[in-house]
Amino acid sequence: MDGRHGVPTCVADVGTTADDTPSTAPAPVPPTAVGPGLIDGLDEGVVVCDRAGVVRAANAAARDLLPDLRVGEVVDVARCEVLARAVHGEGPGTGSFEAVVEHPEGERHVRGRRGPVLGPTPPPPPEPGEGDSTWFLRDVTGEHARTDTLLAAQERAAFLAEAGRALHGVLHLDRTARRVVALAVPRLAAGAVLVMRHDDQVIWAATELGGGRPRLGHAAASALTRVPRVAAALADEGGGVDVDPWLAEELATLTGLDAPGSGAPLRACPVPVTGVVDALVVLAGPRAAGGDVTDPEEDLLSSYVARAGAALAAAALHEEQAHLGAVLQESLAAPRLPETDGVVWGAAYRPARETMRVGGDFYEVVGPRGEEGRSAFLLGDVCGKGIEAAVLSGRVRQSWHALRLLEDRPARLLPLLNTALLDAVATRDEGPRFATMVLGDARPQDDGSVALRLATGGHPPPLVLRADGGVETVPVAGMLVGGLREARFGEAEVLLGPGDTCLLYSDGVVEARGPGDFFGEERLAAALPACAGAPAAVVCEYLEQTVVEWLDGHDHDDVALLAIQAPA
Amino acid sequence: MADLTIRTERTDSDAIVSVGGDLDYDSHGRLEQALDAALDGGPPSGLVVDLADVTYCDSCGLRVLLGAQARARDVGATFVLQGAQGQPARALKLTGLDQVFG
Repeated sequence: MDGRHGVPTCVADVGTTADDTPSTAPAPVPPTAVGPGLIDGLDEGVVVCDRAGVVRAANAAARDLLPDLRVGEVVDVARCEVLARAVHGEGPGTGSFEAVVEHPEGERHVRGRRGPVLGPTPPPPPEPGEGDSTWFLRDVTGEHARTDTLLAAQERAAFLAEAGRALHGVLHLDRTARRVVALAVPRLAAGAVLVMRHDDQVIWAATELGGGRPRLGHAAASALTRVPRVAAALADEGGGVDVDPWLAEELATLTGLDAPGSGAPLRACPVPVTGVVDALVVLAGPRAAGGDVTDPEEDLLSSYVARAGAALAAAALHEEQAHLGAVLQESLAAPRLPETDGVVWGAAYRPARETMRVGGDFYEVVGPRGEEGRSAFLLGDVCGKGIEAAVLSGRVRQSWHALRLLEDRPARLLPLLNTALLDAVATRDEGPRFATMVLGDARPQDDGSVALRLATGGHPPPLVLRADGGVETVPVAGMLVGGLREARFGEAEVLLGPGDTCLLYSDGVVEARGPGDFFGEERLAAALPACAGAPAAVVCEYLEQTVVEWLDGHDHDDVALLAIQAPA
Repeated sequence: MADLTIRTERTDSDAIVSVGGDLDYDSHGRLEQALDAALDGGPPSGLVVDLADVTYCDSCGLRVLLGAQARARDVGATFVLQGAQGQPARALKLTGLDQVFG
């Protein structure tokens, strides 16, 4: 710093300096003589110029900030144009400015303001000349850097919050995949590709370079054998993946698109998703925001990828759940009733409102086989709900279908079913899994009546609605099916005259809980006479409606009804 | 709908579990745990389950009672079910379990 040599002694009165010094010529302040040591000791840079713009004095801080500043030369040589213009009276006239200046240690942000006129002593000139000016310069580079950091952090937080909102609750795997790549562009990269494996398929989503609606594709998981390194990257639980030309080639192979982000540098980021899906996000090209990939940007990327992972996992789980529910509903769907000569069938089935709480009510009707012309029927209820109930009711129905081929007499069929269910449970150490049911067969008679044979296990006894409106309870009882080795089951025979109806129903009917009480067997029996003479299907529909009205919006278990009728 | 209540008392020889409220799909797991606990650690010579205050019992509830009877037998304890009335009593009768629990 040879500029320090020959620096005139400075005069300063820094203490009286006001920030908002008027832009017009400062009020003359009597200069105070101070030693060069004092002005040099100031943190703030001080530059004194005469009217021609020649620097008459500059302290150490000013020379540090503007290394080209020379005392005795015009201020312009300091390569701080804004200061030069201010000194020459060409500035905005506010007396203060901000500037970015070149500096051997990198760009510096300089904030300057005009100060009171100071006279360097000893002269020349002994008194400040008219038109002299003094400038205080402050290095605000650090301040700027802090502000920039803060703004950048806010921007990243806002991006993540927005991405989180956009990804949250989509709960659809394809749509979530599209959003993951769409949101990444342009903030994180110029292009993005997501590859994931879920169950037995590969799903990919890719943006064009620069954005646009992402494209989406599905492939069998076996497609991964053609892209071994993508497959390996998918399996990678953590850490980055080395990116070399293979990535672009394999992505092109997989997606059938031109190498995504062709020519642009690619980087792969495995998505941390536990157990549900394997996913990999590939970013292409420089980020639109520009600048170096700094540590905060790395953090942003991993935070984004983590959010994407959570959204993908949620969507995948939701789809699995929905699929499970659909399969469950399908397995529990009411079967079609056969058309049989001499017997009229009707049924109603109303599953519990929530899919996963659907209980195990079921019924089956199989038309006549053989010469005797007996149709077989079954209505029952297994304990539990949801998947557990579906599995058990499936077991009961399949066992019934198989066993009735060997034994058609209801009172003998039930013990066989009981043993079969107990054996199935015993082999799995499941604890009690039982069902209640009414089963039987119906044989039309020559005179138009229908002969029923019924057996029950732990189930409400059937009701008979005579054509004239009379209601009878079939006197038959029995124990749970599949609960006890020593269970006993009752049997009954019922003759339905023309227009008579036998009604089988599940617990859900009598245990329907309205605002006050259970619907109960008495109300059911009381509702029946109104249906006298109605077709079987109408009887069931009417009763179902009656139960629903009783519920008055309350939750309910499954409701199943099966009516067997001799044609009127 | 009444919440399930469970109170367990120990005498010198017996564990008495008094149950109240709705014993159904949602609540049966709690009774199962309570009955397991009553049979664990120095099993009683008798397990008594009192259903006097039970307002509703579905097949899940019956299943818990059947399971408890089996476990009581395994640890050499007698199993007594008492007090059921209203719907729970009807459910026990309908399923033939009233004979089983005698």
